Amino acid sequence: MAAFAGIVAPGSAVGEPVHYERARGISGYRPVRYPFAAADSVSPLAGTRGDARPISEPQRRLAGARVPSFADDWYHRIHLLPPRIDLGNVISPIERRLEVWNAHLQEQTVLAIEATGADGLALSGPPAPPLAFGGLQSRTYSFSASHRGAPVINAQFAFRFAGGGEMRLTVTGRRVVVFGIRPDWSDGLTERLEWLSDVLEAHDGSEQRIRLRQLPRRSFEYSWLLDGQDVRLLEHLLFAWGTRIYCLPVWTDGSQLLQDVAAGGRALVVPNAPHVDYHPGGMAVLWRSAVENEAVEIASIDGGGVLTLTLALGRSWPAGTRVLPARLARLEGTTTVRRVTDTIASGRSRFTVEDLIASAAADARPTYRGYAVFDYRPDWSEEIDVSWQRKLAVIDQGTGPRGFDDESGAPQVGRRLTWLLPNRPHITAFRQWLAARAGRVHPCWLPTFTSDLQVSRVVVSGGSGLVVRNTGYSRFVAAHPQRRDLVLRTTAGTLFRRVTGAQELSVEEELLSLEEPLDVTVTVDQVLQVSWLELVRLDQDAVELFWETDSVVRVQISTRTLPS
Amino acid sequence: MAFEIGVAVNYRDLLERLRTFLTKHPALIAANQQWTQLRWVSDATTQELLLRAPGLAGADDIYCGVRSYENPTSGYYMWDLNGSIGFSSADTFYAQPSCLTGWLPMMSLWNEATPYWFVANGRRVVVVAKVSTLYQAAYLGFILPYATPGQYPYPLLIGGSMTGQRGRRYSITGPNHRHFVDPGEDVQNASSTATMLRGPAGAWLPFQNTYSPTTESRYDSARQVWPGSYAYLSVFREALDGTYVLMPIVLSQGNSAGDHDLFGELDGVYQVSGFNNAAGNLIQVNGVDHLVVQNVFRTSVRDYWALRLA
Repeated sequence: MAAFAGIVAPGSAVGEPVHYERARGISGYRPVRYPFAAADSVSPLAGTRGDARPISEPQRRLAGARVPSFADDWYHRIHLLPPRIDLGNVISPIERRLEVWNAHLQEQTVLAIEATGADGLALSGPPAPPLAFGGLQSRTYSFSASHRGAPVINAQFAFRFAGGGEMRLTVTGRRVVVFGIRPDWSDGLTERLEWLSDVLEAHDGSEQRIRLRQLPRRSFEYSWLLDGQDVRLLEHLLFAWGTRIYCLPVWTDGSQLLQDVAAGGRALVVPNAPHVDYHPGGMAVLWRSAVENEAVEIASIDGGGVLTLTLALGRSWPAGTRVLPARLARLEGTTTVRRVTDTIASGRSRFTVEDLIASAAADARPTYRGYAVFDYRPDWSEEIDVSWQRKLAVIDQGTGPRGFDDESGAPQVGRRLTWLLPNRPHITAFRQWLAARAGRVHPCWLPTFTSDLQVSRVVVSGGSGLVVRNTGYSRFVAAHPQRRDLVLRTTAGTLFRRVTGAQELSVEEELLSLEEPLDVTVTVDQVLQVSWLELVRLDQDAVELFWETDSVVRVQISTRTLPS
Repeated sequence: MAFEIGVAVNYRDLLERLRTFLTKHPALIAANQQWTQLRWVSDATTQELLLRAPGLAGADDIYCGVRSYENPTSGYYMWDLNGSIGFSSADTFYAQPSCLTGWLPMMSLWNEATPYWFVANGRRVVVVAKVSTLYQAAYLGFILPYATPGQYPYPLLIGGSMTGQRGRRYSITGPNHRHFVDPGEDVQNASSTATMLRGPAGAWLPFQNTYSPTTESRYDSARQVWPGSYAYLSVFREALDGTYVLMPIVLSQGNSAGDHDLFGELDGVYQVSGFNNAAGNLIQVNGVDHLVVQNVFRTSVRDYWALRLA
C-alpha cells in the first residue's frame, strides 16, 4: 500500500482539530501547529483610550410646529365650575360651591368680581379682589342664595382679570310659586288701584294737592270654587307659602297659545301682549291647571306680540295653553275657605301686588283751557247721585242765634258716576285716564251729562251770544267761576265755550255772552244737549275696577268740583 | 421655566447637579418654584435625594425622589426613581408614604462623563442624560391632567427609562429598557413599567406599549401612552413645509372597545418624527427650542421625542 504524506488544515484561526481519525489509506501525517508563522506569535498590542467623551455630534436646527391638543382647550384659561348655576325654585336658602380654577400656567389676578342682578345672592370665601391666582391654582367660593329677593334670579358674576379677561358665572332660578287657582267668574273679579294724596284745603275752599305715592297700589280680589285636587293644592299653598310672594296670574288678561312651544324655547307668541299687562322684566304664566303651570320672565315684547323670555322654557306647552301676564302678589288678610262638601270648597282671596310699575298715563281728548275733557258718557242704568255741599261754618254757642259762614262762597258739587267699559280699548283708555288723575291730584273737565240749558234761538256763525230758556242763570249764577263753561253738543259737533256774562232778556229767555264766538251756525233743533262743564277731581284715591268678564269692566267714581 | 445643559462627571455628580438645579436654580427661585430638599444622604456608593415640589402657585406638595447606587462588577450605575404622597423621615427611600414598590422606574447611567439636560418647573422635572451614544430619561412630577385640581388632585408621574427586570446595564436591549414616552415590559400587562402614574383613584397605574424581549411587539394593553402606541407612527414624517410636528403625549386607558379614559398630557414632552432627524437636534417652535431625544438606543422613525427647553 502506498503511503502518502498529508496535512490536516486547522479548522479555525487558532488551535487545531483536536480529534480526528486518519484514513486507513493514509500512512502518516504531520500535524500543523500554531503558531503557523512567526508573525502569529507576536504578543497583542495594548491600546490606550483617548477620552473624547462626550462625543459631539453634528447638531441640526429644525423648524417645528406643535399639534394642538385637548390641553390647549382645557388649559390657558379660567374655569368656573360650574359655569352656570341653576338654582331652580328657591324656597329656602341654598348653598353651592363654586370653584374658580386658573388653568393658566402663569399667575392671573382677579381685579374685581362684578355682580349684576345679585339680589339675595352672595359669593364668599376667598379674600376680596384684587386677588392673585397662581398658575393652576384653584379656589373654592361658597355661593349662597337667600329665599328673599327678586322673584326671578338671573344674576351674573363677572370675574374681571388683569389683562382684560373676564369670566361670567350665570346664576338662574326663581323664587316664585304660582297661585294657579283661577277665579270663579260668576262673581267677577275686582281690581283695585289706590293712589294716595294729601289735599290741603284753604279757608276759601282752594286746594293744594300733593301726590304722596309714586305708584298706585294694586290689588286683586276674586272668589274661587274648587273641587278635588285643586282644594288640596290650595290648602298646601296657603299652608306653606302664606306670607310669601305668589306669582299671581292677571286673570283678566289671558290669551291662548296658538301653537305648541317646545322646552328650551325663548319666545311666546301672544297677540294681545302689547295691549295687556305684559311688560319687560315682568312675568308671565303658562297655565293649564292649578298644578300644571310655569312662570317665566319676559325680557322684551315686540309690537307683534312676541314675548322674548329671559330664560328658556322648562317644559313644552301645547297649543291652547293659557298665557297670562303675572304679578308678584301677597295674600292679604284672612283667607276663608268654605268647605261645601268634603271635596268642594269656595272662598275669596285678596292679593296685593308687589311689583308695581308705573301705569301708562294718557289724558283724555280734547283739552280745554289747559285741562283734558273727559267726555265719556256714564252708564245711566244706575242713577247719578249729585250732592250739593257748602263749606259752611256754623258758629253755634248754644245760647243765642247761630252764626253761619259760607267760607268758599260756592257749592261743592259731588257726583257719583258709573261707567261701563264694554271692550278692551275703552278699558285701556279709562285706565290711562285714571293714571293721569293719580287719585285726587289732577283735575279734569267733566260735563254734567245732563241737559242744563235749552237753546231757544239760532246761533249764527260768528255769533257770541247764546239765547237760552230762562233758568235764572243771570240772576243767580251770573258767570260764576265754577259754572261758566259749557259743552254744546250739536249735530255740527261738540263745542266748548266759556260764558263771560248773562243778561235776562225776558221771563222766557236770557242771553249768555260767550267768550269766543261759534264758528258754525247752529239752529235750535241742531242742539242735542247743553251741559255745564265742571273742573273736577276724583273724590277718592282708590278706584275699583269690577271685571264682569275679561273685557267688560264696571267702575264707579265719585267726583267733586273744584274752585276755579 | 428653568433648564440647564451641562456635562456631569459621572452618575453621582449628575444627581448632585440635579439637586442643586432643583433647589437653587435662579429661574426657579425667581418664580418661587424652587424645590425643597427633604433628604440628602451621600454615602460612598449610594446617594438618596427626596424632594418636594411646590407646584406653580406654591399650593401643591409634590413628593418624589432619586436614589443612586452602583454595581461595578456587573457594570451598572443606577438611579432609582420614586414618588410618594408625603415624606416620612423615619422611612427609607423605598417606604415613603404610598410610594411605588417593586420594580421602580430607573435610569441606567455610567460612571463616566455624562452630558445632561434638566428642565423643571414647580410641578415636574425632566432629566435627559446621554450615556455613550444612548439616552436615558426621567420625568418626575405632575402631568397636565384633563381634569381640574379638585377632580384629579395628585397626577404624579414617575417615568424612567428602565425597569430592571432583565439586568440593569445600560447596554441591554429589549422592552424593559425604554423611555417613559413609549414604555414596555417583557410580559403583557406588567404590573410595573417605566411609566407609573398615580391615578385619580390613588392607585399606581402602569403604562405599557410593547412587550416581548426579542420582538418588542406592540399590543393593546390596558393603559398606553399615545402616540407611541400608534401602529403607523413609523411612517410619520415631517410636514410638507419641512417643519417637524410635535404631538402631545397623552396617557390613556382603554376600558372596553371605544371607551377610553384620557388622564392627561406630559408637560413639555412631545412625540416627534425621527425621519431625517437625530438626537441632539433642536426643533424651534414659536421661538422655543425643543431637544430631540431618542428612545435609549433606538433610532427608527418612531423612537424620537422632543423636550421643551423652557
